[in-house]
Amino acid sequence: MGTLLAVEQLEVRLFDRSGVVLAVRGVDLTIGEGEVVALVGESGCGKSVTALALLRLLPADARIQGSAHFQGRDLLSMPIRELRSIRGSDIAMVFQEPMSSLNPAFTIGNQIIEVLKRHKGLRGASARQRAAELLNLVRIGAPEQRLRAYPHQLSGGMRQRAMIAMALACDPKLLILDEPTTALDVTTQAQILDIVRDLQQRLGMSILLITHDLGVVADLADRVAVMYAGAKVEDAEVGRLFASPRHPYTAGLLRALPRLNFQPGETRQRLTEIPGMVPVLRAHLDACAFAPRCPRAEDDCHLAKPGLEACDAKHVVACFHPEPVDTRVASS
Amino acid sequence: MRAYLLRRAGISLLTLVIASIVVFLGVRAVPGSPAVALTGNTDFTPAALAAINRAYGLDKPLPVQYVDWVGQIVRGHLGSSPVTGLPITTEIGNAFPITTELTILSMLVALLLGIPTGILAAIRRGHTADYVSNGLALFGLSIPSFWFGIMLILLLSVHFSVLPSAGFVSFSVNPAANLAHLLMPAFVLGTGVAAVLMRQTRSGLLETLRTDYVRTARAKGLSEWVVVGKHALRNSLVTVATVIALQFGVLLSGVAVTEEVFGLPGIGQLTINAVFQRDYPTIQAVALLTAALVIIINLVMDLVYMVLSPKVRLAGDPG
Amino acid sequence: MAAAQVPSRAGWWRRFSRRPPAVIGLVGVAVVVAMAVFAPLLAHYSPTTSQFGHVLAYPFSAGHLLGTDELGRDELSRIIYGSQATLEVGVLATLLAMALAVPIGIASGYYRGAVDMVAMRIADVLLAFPFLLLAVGLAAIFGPSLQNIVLALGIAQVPGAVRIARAEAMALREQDFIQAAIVTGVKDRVIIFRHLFPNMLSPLMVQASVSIPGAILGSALLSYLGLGVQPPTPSWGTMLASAQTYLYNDPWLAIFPGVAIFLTTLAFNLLGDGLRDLFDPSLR
Repeated sequence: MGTLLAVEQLEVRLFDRSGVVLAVRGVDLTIGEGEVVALVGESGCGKSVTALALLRLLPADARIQGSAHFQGRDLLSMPIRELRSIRGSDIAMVFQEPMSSLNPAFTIGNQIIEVLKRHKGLRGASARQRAAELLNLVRIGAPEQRLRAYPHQLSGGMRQRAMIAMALACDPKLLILDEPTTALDVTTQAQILDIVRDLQQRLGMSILLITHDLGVVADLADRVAVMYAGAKVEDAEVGRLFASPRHPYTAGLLRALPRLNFQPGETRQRLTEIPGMVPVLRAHLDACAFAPRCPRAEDDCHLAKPGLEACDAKHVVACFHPEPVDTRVASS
Repeated sequence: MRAYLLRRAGISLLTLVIASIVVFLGVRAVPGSPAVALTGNTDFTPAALAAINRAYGLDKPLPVQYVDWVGQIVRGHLGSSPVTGLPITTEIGNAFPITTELTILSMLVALLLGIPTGILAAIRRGHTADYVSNGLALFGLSIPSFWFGIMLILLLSVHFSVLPSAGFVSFSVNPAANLAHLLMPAFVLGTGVAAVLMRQTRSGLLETLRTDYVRTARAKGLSEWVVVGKHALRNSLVTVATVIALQFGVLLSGVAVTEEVFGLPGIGQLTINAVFQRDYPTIQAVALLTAALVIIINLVMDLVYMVLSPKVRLAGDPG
Repeated sequence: MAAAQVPSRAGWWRRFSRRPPAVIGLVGVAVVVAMAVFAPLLAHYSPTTSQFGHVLAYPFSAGHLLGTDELGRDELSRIIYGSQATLEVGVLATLLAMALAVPIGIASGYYRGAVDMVAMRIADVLLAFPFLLLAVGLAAIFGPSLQNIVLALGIAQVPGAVRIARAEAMALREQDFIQAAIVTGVKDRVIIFRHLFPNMLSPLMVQASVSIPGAILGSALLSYLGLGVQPPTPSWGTMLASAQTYLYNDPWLAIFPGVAIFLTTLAFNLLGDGLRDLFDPSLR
């Protein structure tokens, strides 16, 4: 499997009322062809910012450093005109809030067709036909009618599916989904995930899935990268991450998941939470950012920033005192 | 949609009716008897006063007077001016086209100056173009229009003798002279409104440029022209349209003064003369006319708002 | 859009002073206020004494920096004293409008219902008459004098100000802290005076500073039309009116009062903008 996207040492500085925020500090990420990679973390860890940085959709005063090589070209340094021909066609993005992400003044059809017009030169009847096909693809019934609908006339789930249809219009090689189900109710979430899984299997595109919901991750992802305070702290194949998380933060996240299936004899435990909040960093930190909240922290954690080290096959973790391998599962 | 329109039309009608009552009562609230107000004379013999009162129907109860008055207006009888002796309808008829042309030209100037500058300032926010545009807007907002008019006359009529300083020539008589006489006044009026439009367009566009759907448009790889011109602008049009409607009222205010300064015999000058000469029938008529115009324009703008906003159009309720 | 912001007190001067136009506005307003307050000290001549030997003198002539007017009165002194009328009218009219509009607006926005409907219909009617025409009409009815144009302009501003006060009151009412007070049974009067009104102060201040320029221009206009202070008291508007007759002889007479009005209005506009940016910088 070839590498589709290689992000190296991505740094993003944003500006708020009080000054600079180092939202992403030195992230490496690779996405292979046909691979589904999940970028996971709490709110404020920089995962959305990472995704937006790839397509340079951040506010004009944001400062981006590093490189993101996509099919041999660096997305972050190419002329904006070149990037525009990649946006929406080779790389497409679906945002979190389908209501505010769709223009309320234009019909769904109008907004889908304008992508087709822009990148494929389709017009008129052929464009409408293709748009209807796309709506079918995301399982929206009566597509010809729906094309004439305005966003506020559709339900939340349908709007999100329309956004996905819009993103798939030009057969993207990489689909970025930013919290695709967070704004939806549970039933609709399941539907959307179903559609996404199905589409990925059929069309074979790569997906970068941004989410804080580990359930979604388990459902869709091949590989998971965990982010904390703007840096990647663990990266592993999904099964291995869930079975044997090495970073204390990842372990904490997993322990915070409510579980309904108990083996006979297991005692029910209280949900553990990770005390404290994700810090907002304004400059590089010469220490582990998670140390203040970490149950396994020791003195050296506060003195130097741990780098990503391989702890297993295709499994890296940034920690001086990682969790022990879960021997119950390791052998399976 | 129809329900909304009907409701708005109903409210407009109600406002108009109340306005007419205010105008009607206003004249009768002036110190001195209404007979004085309506005829312009101050001394009457008791017999003459009684005769006048009967002639004008002033001896009837107030509500009856009002109904009579409304009936007359609807039939187009606005009475005669006690000052000039001319039927008010004629005076208004003569003055109206001048004011209308001035208002339309001024609005054109305002739109042509204000909206492009506002758009420019928004997309070049923080750069020179933005500062210059904002500076010009402040200039337009702070300058007293009548002084601006006098200054322009000083420059272009006195100093350079390029444009005439007063008077009016009808378009059908001489188009070039017509425009020459209206150019300065329209510019003076238009710049004030342009300043407001520029600010409104700029802030409206800045707001829409920050939205998620504009971000989506960019993520689709659309060119900046399409992103700004189609997606962002379309949604800021609504606020701009509302402001334009409000500015018509401002224009009608400014028209009065500008006509004074430039000696244009329009409704504004008619009004001011009437006010100073205590020509109450004329004041009454013009006040009602202006109020009606403003109310109608607001109603039209509601229509425009409906067309621009699909939510309102389809659901029938402002979103 | 009427986002009732609860502004942060800390560092407001720092944020205000960071923007040069706002500071310039503040300085300008201070200058005009100083002119009005210290007029007797600043003016060399009396603004009303005519010197018939020096009629229509140009600027920089014999002891008259800005020249003299058609009756030989020193232009500079008249400009300085003229600031009094302008400021009085501009500020008082706006304060009057606010004093009338805020209670009505609060009652309308907080209680809604019948009060609101009636108030809004009346506001609509008043707003149907163009602002200046309304002011001119009222001033003509009341008779020409300073107090009367304050009254006229103040009343003419009321409907617009009511709309704004009402919007603020409505927006604030929906905020959680007010809702909490209502739900826990706090008396209306207490809510309005202790919670609602203090939070309306800053948007109202911004609104006032934005309205003053309009009032100043209005006062200049009314004076120009002869409805304001009567001669010989100097007022920039009346000075402009008489200057128009002498436009060919001495254009300077028409320039100085206008510049004075322009700069004063500009200063208030800049100040108003600065205050607005302070409380709602997102619009910048």
